[in-house]
Amino acid sequence: MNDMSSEEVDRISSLPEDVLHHIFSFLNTKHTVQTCVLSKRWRYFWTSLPFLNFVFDPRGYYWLSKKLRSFQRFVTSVFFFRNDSNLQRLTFSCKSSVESSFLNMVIHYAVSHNVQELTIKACADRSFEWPPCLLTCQSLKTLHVDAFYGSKGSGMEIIANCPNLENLVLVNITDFNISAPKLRNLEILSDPNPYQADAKIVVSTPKLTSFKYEGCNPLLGSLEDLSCLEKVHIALLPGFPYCDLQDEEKLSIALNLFTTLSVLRNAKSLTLSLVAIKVW
Amino acid sequence: MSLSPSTSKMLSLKSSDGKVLEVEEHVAVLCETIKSLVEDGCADSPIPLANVDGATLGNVMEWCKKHADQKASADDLEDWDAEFVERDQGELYHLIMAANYLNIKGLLDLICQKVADMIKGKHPEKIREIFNIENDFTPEQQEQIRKDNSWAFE
Repeated sequence: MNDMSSEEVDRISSLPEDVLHHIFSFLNTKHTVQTCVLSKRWRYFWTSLPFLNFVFDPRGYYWLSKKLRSFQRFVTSVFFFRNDSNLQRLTFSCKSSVESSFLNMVIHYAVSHNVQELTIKACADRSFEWPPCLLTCQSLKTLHVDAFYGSKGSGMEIIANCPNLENLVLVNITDFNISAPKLRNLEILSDPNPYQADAKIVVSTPKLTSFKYEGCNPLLGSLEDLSCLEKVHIALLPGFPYCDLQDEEKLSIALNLFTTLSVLRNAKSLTLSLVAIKVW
Repeated sequence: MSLSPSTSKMLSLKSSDGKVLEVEEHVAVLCETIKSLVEDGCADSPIPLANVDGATLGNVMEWCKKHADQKASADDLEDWDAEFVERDQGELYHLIMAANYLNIKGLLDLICQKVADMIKGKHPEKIREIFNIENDFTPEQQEQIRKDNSWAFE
């Protein structure tokens, strides 16, 4: 790429708006907003971006609360100054605990701008409840929620009822109740954690074709309407040494696993992890 | 009509500068624009592509050929793609415009990601330098914009 600087032609500024949106969809929104100083052509470019990526990942705890306030001010300002166009994707990833009211504000903004893909990775305080507007959101097609390991909110309950939801990824969330008529892909993942409560789920998803579960304990709960299921992947993670378990505990895990598998019997392909097979 | 490699027929594509390229149909239909022409039975011979020059069309078809190869593994494709995007900005620009016009999602994703990587982590001054963007603000205007948007520069 040595001859690049010698070309002396500004090509990027003449790219069509949707191609520029595509390029900036890969970047942190902070960098995108900073393009406003490049030239007059770029002055208001960021305000129409349909992809927002908010990432707070401070290194170390030094000035943490100051950095967090600055990050929150950034997010609020973007919402305030951007034009009111619809959002295709919003990602909010905050590696620090964040107030419920702030998280709610972010979700409300996304839903009110007809977001199609929403990723929330955050550690909310205990008072947090998923806003009803999200759980019935009409525009939402893909939802990815990661409550971060160790958050007190890991037991929070989600009752999702989104009519157009097609893809759902839940990380470190143990209790939920999903009724999504168009859901095709469901992933329930959790980090290895010996103290994790059993995942209690109620799922009613008649269009589900792919189901992936990774966690320490077998699933408990009910899965209904799984006639379209094609692919199932279940991995039990070695969160605690299975060899230390009493026979009754092993039996209980095996029984739970058996119950889960019997519900998933319609699947055309099934992958089981080694640990799951050992417990079996 | 079969799009499988073994029975694939040839399509001729004509670039904006009049060059004609013979491409196997199963390769060319990676371009959604060409695919819909073929499916609707509207594929003239040669198919005129008014927005793509011959050199770029050659590069685009090279990418399509690699990605139509069912024997290529995901790792293999990733390495190949990484080498494919090592080009000067002029070529990247023409590839991005062609991928957009021919509607090739995989290629457009690849080049947009490449350009995003060139921008990532750079200060505005550096971005201006890399892409030869002319600063048409007066120093006063520049100062004012920074002040108005100070929340984005903290």
